[in-house]
Amino acid sequence: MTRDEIFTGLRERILAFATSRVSRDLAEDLTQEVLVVLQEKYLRVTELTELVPLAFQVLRFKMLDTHRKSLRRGEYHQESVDELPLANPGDDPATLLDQKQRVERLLAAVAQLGERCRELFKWKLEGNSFPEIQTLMGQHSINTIYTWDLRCRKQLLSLMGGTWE
Amino acid sequence: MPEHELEKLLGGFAANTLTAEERLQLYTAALQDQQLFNALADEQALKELLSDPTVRRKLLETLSRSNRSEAGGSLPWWAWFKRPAGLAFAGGLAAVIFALAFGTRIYQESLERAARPVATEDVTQARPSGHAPQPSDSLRSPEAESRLKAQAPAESAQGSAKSDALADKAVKRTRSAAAKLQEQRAAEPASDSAMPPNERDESRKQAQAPVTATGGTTEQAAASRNRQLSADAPSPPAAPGTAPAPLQAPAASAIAPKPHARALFYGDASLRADGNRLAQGSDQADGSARKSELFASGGTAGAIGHVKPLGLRYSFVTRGADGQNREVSAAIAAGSTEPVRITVETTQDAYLQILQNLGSAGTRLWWPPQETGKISLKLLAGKRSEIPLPPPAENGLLALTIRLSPKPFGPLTMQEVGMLDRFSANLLIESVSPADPSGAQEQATYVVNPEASPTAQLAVDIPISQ
Repeated sequence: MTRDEIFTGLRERILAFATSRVSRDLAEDLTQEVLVVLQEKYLRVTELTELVPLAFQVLRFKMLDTHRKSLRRGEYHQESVDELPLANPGDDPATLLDQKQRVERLLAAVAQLGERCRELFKWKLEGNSFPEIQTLMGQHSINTIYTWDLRCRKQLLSLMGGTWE
Repeated sequence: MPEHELEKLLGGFAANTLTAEERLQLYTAALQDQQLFNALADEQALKELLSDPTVRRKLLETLSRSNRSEAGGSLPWWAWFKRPAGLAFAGGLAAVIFALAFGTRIYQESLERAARPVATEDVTQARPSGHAPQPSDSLRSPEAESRLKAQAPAESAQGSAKSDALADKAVKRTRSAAAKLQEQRAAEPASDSAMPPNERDESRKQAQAPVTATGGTTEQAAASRNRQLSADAPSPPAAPGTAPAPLQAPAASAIAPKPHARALFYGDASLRADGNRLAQGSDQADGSARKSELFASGGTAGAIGHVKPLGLRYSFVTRGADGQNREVSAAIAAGSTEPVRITVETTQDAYLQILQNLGSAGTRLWWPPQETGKISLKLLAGKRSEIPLPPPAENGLLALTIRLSPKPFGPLTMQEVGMLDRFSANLLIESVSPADPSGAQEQATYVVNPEASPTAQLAVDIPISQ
């Protein structure tokens, strides 16, 4: 699959995804900005297995930026921009707090998982692939590991409140 | 892997542990499948978290800590009951304890019930002698002694193996009961010495009060107490002159406990003459009136204690050739062509039920009749009531069960019918007939529940014809 073909596919998917989260105009702007970044900053990245996760990462950053920009401009609260402080180029305290709370929720949720899920999650965090986990857990079929992982992931997501954010 | 199962790889995407092949499959499919793409985009947040080495280290610590706590077995003790095996074990243990506790109790009750008739006889025999000022108490009146003496040679003359075995058994039971009594007596001085001197004197005064009130002396009380002991215990070396009598009396009372039912019914030996006279048809009205007076005056209380035992006297009455009512035996009543009635009389105001056993058809309430709408008939103490006998059942069986209770009966249930025998376990039953050596001129049966309880009941089966 060529880079252009990947870009075509990515544009279509990113636009659909962004449209489900923000307005159509904003979604088109977001899509365009993601593709611009990929085109200008990561021109040498051509592999599908590298471009797609990179696109997800850029998309997430762009959406967070858009969210912060809207918050800063008072689009959510309709407050005067003049009364708001200047933007810090680094992570603001709210973002840091949000990040900290997410980690705490994740830790609490992981602690509530069952024994098998915790074991599976631990193998994954230690960098083991599914085939390696299959060997570690003594299973004959890798599909068993896939199924267990899917269930554990859903359980973790449920314990997190239905979202990773 | 089929495309619809590619979402199983999402977990590997967040942890960044997918193999190259899995990654290619997942991303290629994501470009074609919007839902998978959206899921991957959402998973990016988790991937971002997990990509932070600090967060990853904290997660690993949390997971390791959880595993250690499970492996270390430091769970609270009640967590053990949450497991199915623990629950099953606890339930089984509870059932075993329950069965042991109730099984032991039921077994002890059955043993007590089996041993109670003899023990009760001993107590009732001993009790009047403690209160009576003279040695001749109601149970050991000259009449009773002569009867016992008359019975003893007759029994020894018969000499059957069965009666010997019965006598041995009864003597053994009596000895065991006497041994218990002696142990209690032996414990008395200890309790006396443990009491302060003032209280000890008071308690002794209280113990001697009935004796002095009836005009007796402490020596007489001691003598009666010794007599009571010797009547219970078969080893009286201190009083050789009285040795044979105490040995015979318990044996006789154990072998033939029935004679005491009549004495308990009237409460005093002196009343027996009245009872005999009452049985005669000529002066029945006067006798009933006098007996009613005696019952009302509590004449029985002095002889057997302040609580009158629940007692029943029943007999079968038919009209003779001379037109006079006469008491007949159950066998004669069964074959009589004349109408037969059953007379009942109680020691205290009580409620009566007569049930007829219909064999396989069950049991029915015969008296009071259904037309009255009542379940039980109230009887006044000392007053005789006549009740007609029911016709025999289809199989020719005529058997009655008389129930007596100080309180009105409730509706009769099948379960209650099956449990009637618990009211007939400890009853004293004595049948009196003119052929008796005592010369009684009545043909009646006395049934007494010796249990001195206001809630005591009795139920007695009367097989008239088989």
